[in-house]
Amino acid sequence: MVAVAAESPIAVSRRRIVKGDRVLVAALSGLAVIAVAVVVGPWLWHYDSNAVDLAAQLSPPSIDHPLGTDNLGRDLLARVLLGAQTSLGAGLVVVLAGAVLGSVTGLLAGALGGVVDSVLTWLTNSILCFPSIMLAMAVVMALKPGIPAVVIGLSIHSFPWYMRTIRGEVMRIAAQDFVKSTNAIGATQMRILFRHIFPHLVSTIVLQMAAVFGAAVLSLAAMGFLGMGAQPPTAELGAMITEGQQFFLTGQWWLVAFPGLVLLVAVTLTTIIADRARELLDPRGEYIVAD
Amino acid sequence: MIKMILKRFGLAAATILGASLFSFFLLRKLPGDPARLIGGDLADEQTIATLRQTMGLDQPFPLQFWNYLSSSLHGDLGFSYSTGQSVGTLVQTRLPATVELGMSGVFTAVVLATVFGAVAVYRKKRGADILLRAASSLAMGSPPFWLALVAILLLSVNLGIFPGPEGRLSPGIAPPPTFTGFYTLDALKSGQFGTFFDAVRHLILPAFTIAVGPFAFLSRLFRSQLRNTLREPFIVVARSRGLTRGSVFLHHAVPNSLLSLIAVTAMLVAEAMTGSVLVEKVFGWPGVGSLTVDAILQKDFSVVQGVILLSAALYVTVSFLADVVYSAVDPRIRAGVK
Repeated sequence: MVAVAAESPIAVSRRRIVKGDRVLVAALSGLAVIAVAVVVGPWLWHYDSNAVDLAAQLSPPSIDHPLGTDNLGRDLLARVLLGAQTSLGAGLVVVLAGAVLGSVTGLLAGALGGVVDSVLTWLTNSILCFPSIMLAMAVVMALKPGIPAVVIGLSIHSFPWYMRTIRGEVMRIAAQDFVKSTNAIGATQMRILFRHIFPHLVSTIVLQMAAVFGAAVLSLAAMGFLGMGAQPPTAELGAMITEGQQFFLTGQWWLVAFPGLVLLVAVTLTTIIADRARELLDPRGEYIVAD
Repeated sequence: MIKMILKRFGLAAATILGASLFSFFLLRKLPGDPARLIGGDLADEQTIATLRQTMGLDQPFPLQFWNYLSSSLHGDLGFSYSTGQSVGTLVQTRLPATVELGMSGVFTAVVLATVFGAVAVYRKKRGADILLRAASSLAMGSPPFWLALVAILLLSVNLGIFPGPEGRLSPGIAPPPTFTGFYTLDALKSGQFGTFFDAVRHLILPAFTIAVGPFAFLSRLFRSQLRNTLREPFIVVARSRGLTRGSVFLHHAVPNSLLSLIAVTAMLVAEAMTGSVLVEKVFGWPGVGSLTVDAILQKDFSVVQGVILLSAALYVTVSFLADVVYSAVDPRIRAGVK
């Protein structure tokens, strides 16, 4: 949310609600811990994520290597920290790209209507009939395997959700009296759209971003798992699970367990936060969580 | 009703057209040159030029798209460059495995979501409700491929309850004669009960893994829908006629709330497709998902294009059917009453 300089009564009541919701506070703190660990961790932890130590191949979790090592003797904690940075960072890029693209197209479709609206709606309907992973695969095929291609594919798949929501909201708000009166004063279309309508959409956009972040991170990891996302030796949680798969079933459980658990915890926390935030900020709206 | 169906049909056709245009543009027009992909990095310019000509890549874009569209509509999806088989045949041999898996997965999800959702709402205790929401949040947050691996490690490698990742049947067991392509049904039809149980045992873990995502989504939807239905006047009327709480719940509230699940069927199919790509890889399941993954890694163009187009067509068809069924079952939709 945008910071409010002099605290309005609404902001005060919101703050109280946030304080009273223990689950939300717990989830937010959990995510904050993960975020700090992921951003600062790789610098603090004394092992390098790609330092090969053949003497310590596949060693189980110990004091020296809290999460164990992989088949090349690389420290798993260092790799999980860096891998989470890659996964969550790329997820953030997908969410931001989707939000920007979706806001622009949504504003255009909602404000202009007519042919622009029909064409954009048709285009987004067409995009949405591909499963997200299929679309990402097609982009990987057209470009080359790697995180950039996957991020592009997932961003293309995520923007229609924003567009739909924003288009509807713009149409709803544009019909209200304060917009008509602003128009009567002589404000330009652009000014009305960006100064008067857009601020009302910020919370909608933020909520939608929170709702799709988890799905984006999971899809990214899935693409990494299929060998189409991050390429070795880049540490990425999904790709790490693939690398550990062959050892996992023969007893080296830590190679797959830890990257997966980090994914599980991070995505579950964001899902809970998105849920609670929606109930707080927008009790009437139901947001669709993309696959 | 007929007018509405026609309108929806036109919309569906336009969407499929858009989807095929989009995938065609993506795969043919973006940086990578299909002829170069097929010819390989070592092919000389002459070979590439010939390839471009045979593939029709030297024609103008609208003509290329038209040719592609008309041959697709005739059922010709082109040839796989790595196996030499036609894409249609390849998909046909793989499709039953995916459909069997996907349907079992979605069915499991619907049953679990309905049962747990109904129990959580019926027992007014907060605990049951919190448990359901926690389970659904966890299910939403868990990577399906990871869950599949953990399930294999615990239930198959350590406890030996289920078979490992060996596909649809144990090695040494011959597939039943083909009627539907679903091993479970085919085995039952030909009376091979041993094969049937083996096929079911192989189906359980993959189906549960596929069900996790849809379950998370459906249980939330069903729960909130059920709570809304219980506030409707007709529930009060039924109660005031002297029906017990349980009877009203089971015979009035639950069926009416189930209606809302029909509308999201198309989304479920998409979810199952996405899930199946991952789960098939983990379990060695010989379906369309693993076909697609292999095709992409081998840069087998026509296979990828064919599968992507088919999945879009499937999604549009299912959502069209869901709309029609929904309005047939619920007269309010037909009349345009919200």
